[in-house]
Amino acid sequence: MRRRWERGKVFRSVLPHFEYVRPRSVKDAIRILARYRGEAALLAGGTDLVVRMKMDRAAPRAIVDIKRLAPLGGPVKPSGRSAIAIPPLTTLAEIASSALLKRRLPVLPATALLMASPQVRNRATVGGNLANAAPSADMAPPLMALGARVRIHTRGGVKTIPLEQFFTGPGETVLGVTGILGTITVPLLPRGARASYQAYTVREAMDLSIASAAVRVQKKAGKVVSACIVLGAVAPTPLRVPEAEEALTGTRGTAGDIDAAAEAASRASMPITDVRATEGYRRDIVRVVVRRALSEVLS
Amino acid sequence: MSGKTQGLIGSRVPKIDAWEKVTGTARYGHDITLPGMLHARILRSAHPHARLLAIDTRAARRVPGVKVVLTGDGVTCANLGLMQDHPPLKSGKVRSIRDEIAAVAATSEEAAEEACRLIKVQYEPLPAVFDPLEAMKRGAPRIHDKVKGNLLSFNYRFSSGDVDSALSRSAHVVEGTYTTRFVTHACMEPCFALASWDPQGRLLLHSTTQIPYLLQGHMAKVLGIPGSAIRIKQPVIGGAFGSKLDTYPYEVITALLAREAGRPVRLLYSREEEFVCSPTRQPMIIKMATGCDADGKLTARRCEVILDNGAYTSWGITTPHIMLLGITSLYRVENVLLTAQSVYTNNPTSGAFRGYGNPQGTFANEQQMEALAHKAGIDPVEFRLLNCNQPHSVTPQKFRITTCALRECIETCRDSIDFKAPKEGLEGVGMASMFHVAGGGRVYKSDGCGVIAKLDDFARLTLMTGATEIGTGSDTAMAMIAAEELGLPVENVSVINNDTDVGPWDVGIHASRTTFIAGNATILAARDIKAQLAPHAAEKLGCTEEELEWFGGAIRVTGDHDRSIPIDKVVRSLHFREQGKMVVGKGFYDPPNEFQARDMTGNVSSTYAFATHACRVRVDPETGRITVLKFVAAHDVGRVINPLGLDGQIEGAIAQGLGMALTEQVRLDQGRMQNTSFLDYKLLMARDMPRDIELHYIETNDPEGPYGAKGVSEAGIIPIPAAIANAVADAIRVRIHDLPLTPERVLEAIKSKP
Ligand SMILES: Cc1cc2nc3c(=O)[nH]c(=O)nc-3n(C[C@H](O)[C@H](O)[C@H](O)COP(=O)(O)OP(=O)(O)OC[C@H]3O[C@@H](n4cnc5c(N)ncnc54)[C@H](O)[C@@H]3O)c2cc1C
Repeated sequence: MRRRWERGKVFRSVLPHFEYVRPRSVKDAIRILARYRGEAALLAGGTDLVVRMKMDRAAPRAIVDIKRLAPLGGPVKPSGRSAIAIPPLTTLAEIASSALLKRRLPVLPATALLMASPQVRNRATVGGNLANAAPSADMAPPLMALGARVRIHTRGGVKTIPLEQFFTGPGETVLGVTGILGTITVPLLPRGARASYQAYTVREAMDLSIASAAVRVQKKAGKVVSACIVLGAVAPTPLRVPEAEEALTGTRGTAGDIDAAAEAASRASMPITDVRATEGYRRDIVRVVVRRALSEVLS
Repeated sequence: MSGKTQGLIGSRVPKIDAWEKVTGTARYGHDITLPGMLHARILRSAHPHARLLAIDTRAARRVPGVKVVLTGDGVTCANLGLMQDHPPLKSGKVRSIRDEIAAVAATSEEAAEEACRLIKVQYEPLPAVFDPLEAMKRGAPRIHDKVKGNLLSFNYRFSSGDVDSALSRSAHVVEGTYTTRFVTHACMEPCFALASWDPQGRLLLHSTTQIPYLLQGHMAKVLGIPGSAIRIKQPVIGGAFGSKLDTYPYEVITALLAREAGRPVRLLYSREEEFVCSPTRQPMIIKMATGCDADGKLTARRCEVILDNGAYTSWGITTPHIMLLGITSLYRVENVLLTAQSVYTNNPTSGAFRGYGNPQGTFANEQQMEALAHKAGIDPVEFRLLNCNQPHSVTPQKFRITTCALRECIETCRDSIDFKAPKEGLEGVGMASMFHVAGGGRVYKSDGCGVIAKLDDFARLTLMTGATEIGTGSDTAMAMIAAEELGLPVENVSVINNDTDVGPWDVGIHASRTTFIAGNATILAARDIKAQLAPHAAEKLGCTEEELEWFGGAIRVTGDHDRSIPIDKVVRSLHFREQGKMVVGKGFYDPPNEFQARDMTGNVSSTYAFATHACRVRVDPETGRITVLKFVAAHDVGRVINPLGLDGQIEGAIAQGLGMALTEQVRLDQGRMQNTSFLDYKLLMARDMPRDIELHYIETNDPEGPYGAKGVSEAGIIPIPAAIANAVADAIRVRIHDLPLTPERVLEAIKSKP
């Protein structure tokens, strides 16, 4: 029998070697990404990237620091009369404390406050949360439910797409090797609409969701006229569940209607069993978080 | 000697090391560097069980900066562990995925890591076994060639009375099997070792060990050099909880690398490595039956325990000593039969952890008490009071209980948790008590500790001791005790306890023993100083020695405080004279307890601690998540030395115990840990703590304790999993026998209800 040579396990204490690059412009950054052909990583707050590097799950040849690129930063501000523009470099702490968001889209500051810890929130960015594309990323479901659109900087130019089309798999987005996530534009809630995000975690703080749900529901004359329901952590990407939305639309939003929507969402979810929870438990939790989110906005 | 005392004992004294810790100036192992120091890394196994066929280190040796590469075949040293089954560097075979295959020392951490990565190994994977019950079966893979059936010969049996007939005659009997999982200490500071050899061949090992003198002995044996050629120094220790109660391969490896390199070598674990490679609490399978008569008096108990030893044997193999003591002696029960068998598996090696098996045993014991009370139709609190231990009694294991406030602990919890209060939704209340060693624990032949006290010309008192401080506040307690005895301010006392060349013998910090044992040794040393100063002070003050009062840095005459002399002046008068004298006191305390005989009888501790915890929980019926609304802890502590330190010990234990009860578990897949970060190894956080925590201390003034104190540092964690399980059973009306009580498991139990 031929024996093969194998390597054992060495635990990493020091980051793998990498080059550090600070581009002068977004265009420059895209050029650098292209030059490294997938072996470079953008650095925003680093709270996902550096952790992955330390755990041997990423070893980029170059780190491209975008923190000082003006077009990706700046304050959260109105965009026209019916939307708010959030630059990708906005930190979770800034989201949590933005007076504009607290007044117009309070679900976003509330979501940011659920995440991580004050120290991590001071560094972590909303762009990093989305671009990292973890199925459990907390900012994604509420932004998707609100109908956010994201600007994408590519070699070919700039385009804007619905956030719903942004995620393509766990850790994968339409950005590919050279794309950069730009401004996130979130429409304000129309009259009669409310939104909620419910994340279920085992601990009260510093925990990733087992399952989460964001909902945006608009009611007119006592009836649900539109509903958007997005689940987190139960599919390869944040998952919009039209089955649940349909179950709710046109109803009065009674407890029974809510249960039906929650049940539909649970059935449509595609959870996996991993170290955090089993598939079955996640399905149970989907029912709970959808019901709680809908109950909040329909009460 | 009598007179007014300073009243320090029982006052809230901030830890004497608090300033340096909160300002970040404390020097932990990571902060220590030596000139020319190299950095070490360890290569570990890719398989849980495999034959090692070949190791190729050529590429590693070529990495610039690499000075030494060691493999198991390249070193000669003895095995570690109580069964001497643990080679520091493996050769021939690996038995768990943490097994050390090779080690590198290099001029930078990067080079050491890179070199380790380049080492190639040929394995022949062997069938592995990860479940102790499977490992005991005929035909199971044999983990150590000489050990049949993977059964450790170090096993336990205690028998008293006739259990079978007593159980068959009992009016009520409950039976059950309880399981607990691997949990880990998760010390804030990962493992560290720094070794250097002086030109004469003497080893200086910096280590965060809990057993400096035993470590000295173990290293001597393993390296084959005299113990006198070894010096152990301990930096500030960032958490231990029992995890540093052994001598570990990494300590030996660091010493070997340093000897080979002729330069100091430092090894630091990464956080992931700390999770995967440091010891764990023994998982147990506890099969238990308990009976009572029609009036509710306990008649008999049978208990069979199987422990997952992991691949190698640590000092933790002695865990059943302490675990079984809770099972036999928390409540009065005459007929008992206990057995404990440890089994080798290809899992991580398990070791000592705060409570030493007692939290696991109590999880079974106190759940059975509750279930049996219900079966007998007796209120569970009354049932406990009926059976609880009394002061001045002897248990079947021949433990001589002196002071005992178990009754008061139970009553205190009963009164403050309010068992009868109305409940909302799935709310429940639960209680559990515990029994633990509190006057040392003679699990080694020695249970002693020495203190040398030096009083200088400026009234600075230095205590030199081997008693190790791992964050429990024992240093502060020693300083308070010495200050109280000599009438000095606490600020005048230094404790030097980090160097085997300086401090006298101590067997180690374990068994909640340090404040009790080192505290008593401190009293002896301080009184020795008093005896030396008293004749001179009395002569100067013109009074008898009996009239002296030691207070506020001075020695004065009781009732006539104008006649007073600063204590340092007396010391100086002894130094600055012809035929002067030095002022050094000595104290050695070894408690009056016994090493247990093979039949597991013997008074293992010179006094025992009792405690009861009770809690009110709410269970979310939809998610199974448990919220602890209120937590009450009542402890018989003998006497409170430092309430501030004691609060910290008990509150910390509640945090750790709730983690064990609710969320913490090392998740293994084929012996590999899956949740190697704080994200997925779920220690609880500040926001998870009960909003309402009540601590009650019952002072029984133990005659053997320093100022009446008992050891308390483990007691706080022991009843918690049981108390929570009882409260959850009360809430959901289903009893869960497996730890931890994760939301998922609780929801499953709720759904399983008919
Ligand atoms: C202790 C801790 C707790 C956490 N808790 C939570 C939590 O509760 N919920 C949660 O969702 N997450 C949590 N996280 C994950 C992380 O903090 C968030 O996902 C954070 O928002 C990531 O942002 P960042 O700026 O740090 O990203 P980075 O690490 O800088 O980047 C993440 C990824 O996105 C890419 N990237 C960043 N910006 C852009 C851009 N503009 N265009 C294209 N690609 C880009 C990077 O190349 C990288 O691959 C936690 C992390 C830690 C360490």
